[in-house]
Amino acid sequence: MGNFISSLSYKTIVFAQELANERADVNAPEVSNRIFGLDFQLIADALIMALAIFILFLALSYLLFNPARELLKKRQEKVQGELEFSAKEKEDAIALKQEYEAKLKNVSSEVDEILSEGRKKALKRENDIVDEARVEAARIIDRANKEIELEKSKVKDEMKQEIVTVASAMASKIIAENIDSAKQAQLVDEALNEMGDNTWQN
Amino acid sequence: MSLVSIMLSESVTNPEVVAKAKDEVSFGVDGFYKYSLFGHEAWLTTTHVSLFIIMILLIGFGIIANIAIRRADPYKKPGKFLNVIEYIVETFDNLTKVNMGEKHGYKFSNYIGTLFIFVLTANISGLFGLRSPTADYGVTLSLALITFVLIHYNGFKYQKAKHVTNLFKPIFLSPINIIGEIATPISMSLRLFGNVLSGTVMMGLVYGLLPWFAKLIWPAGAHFYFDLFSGAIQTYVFCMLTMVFISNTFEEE
Repeated sequence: MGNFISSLSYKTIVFAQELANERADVNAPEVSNRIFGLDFQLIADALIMALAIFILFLALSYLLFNPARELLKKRQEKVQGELEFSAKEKEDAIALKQEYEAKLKNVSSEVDEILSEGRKKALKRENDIVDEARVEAARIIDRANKEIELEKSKVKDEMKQEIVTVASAMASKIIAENIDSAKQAQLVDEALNEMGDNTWQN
Repeated sequence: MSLVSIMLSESVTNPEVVAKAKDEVSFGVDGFYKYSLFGHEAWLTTTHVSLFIIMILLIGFGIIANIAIRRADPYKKPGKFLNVIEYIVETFDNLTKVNMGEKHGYKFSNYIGTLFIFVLTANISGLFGLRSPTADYGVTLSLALITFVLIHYNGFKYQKAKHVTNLFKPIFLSPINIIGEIATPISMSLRLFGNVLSGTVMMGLVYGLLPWFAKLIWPAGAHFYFDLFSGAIQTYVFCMLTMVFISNTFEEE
């Protein structure tokens, strides 16, 4: 039993020595056509890689990702703003259009109103003119009638005077043939007597 | 010894095989500069070269995009390049909003976007002659651990103590729940790693083992499948899982 243990411990020591030799060799030969190894080289490679990816991460974040994202954000905001602006403009345009359409509708009714009012006014004016004309005509006729009357009476007077003149001329001719101076004196006296004072007073 | 051979890379356990393979095909990671970290030695490898090139490209793209954005008038029609940038950013914003909710999603948009762009570029970098960084477990493990940290940070933030007690809800399922939580980063990292590595290995075999006339046109199809198709799908899966796992913690029960 003791023999077995001693041989086992001896074998263990030999194995440990071999292992130690191998370990010593780990760093000894240069790395050549290496494919896979769980040794210190792996740890060193992993550390270098971690550092490299960290540097790359910082560099690409700073140079590429963040500025590009900012650019996209700016553009997005701009497009958003433009969209909102155009939507607002469209709303305004629609409101204006509705307003104008309403105005246009009102305009036709207003036109109708104005036309009918004009027609009414014209009709009234026509009636007025006709009435005025009638009155004027009546007045003209009246005046004409009056003038006719006046003329008539004037002509009558003239005729009377003419008749009187003619009669007196005829009478003077007849009297001149038939009367002598004595007779004339007599007649004048008679006439003077007949007239009397009253006649002169009237 | 078998445990050790599983735990350690092949280059360590069996250098002769690697040396032999090196002449024929190469799809592993090679170190070119040794440095010391916490008293241990580590190597800068081809992964880091690819990683550096990809980072320069992405940051360069970021700077050009930044200039384009600064010059752009937000009140005018955007140009073609600006359109592409806006499309990318909006896509990630929408993706996070849809998968993580309107309330919290936008906070993760930048990280998910970075993750997506990086993993996608890394996966398809095989097309441009680089060795995909995501075909190195150190990279995918790191990404998955970041996801793991984000999951539990947000879990404690939004669910408080319930984030822990929920693990023991049906008490007999608590071991499975705990294993499930621990398995999340492992499965995520291994899924991405395995998929991209398999593509890399396949392309390495195609280019390493075939005579020149046998690799004239058809590798384009293989590139299309392994780099573009598989790469894009794995990117999407990784980001989607990250988003879903994080957004699960938002549910305040």
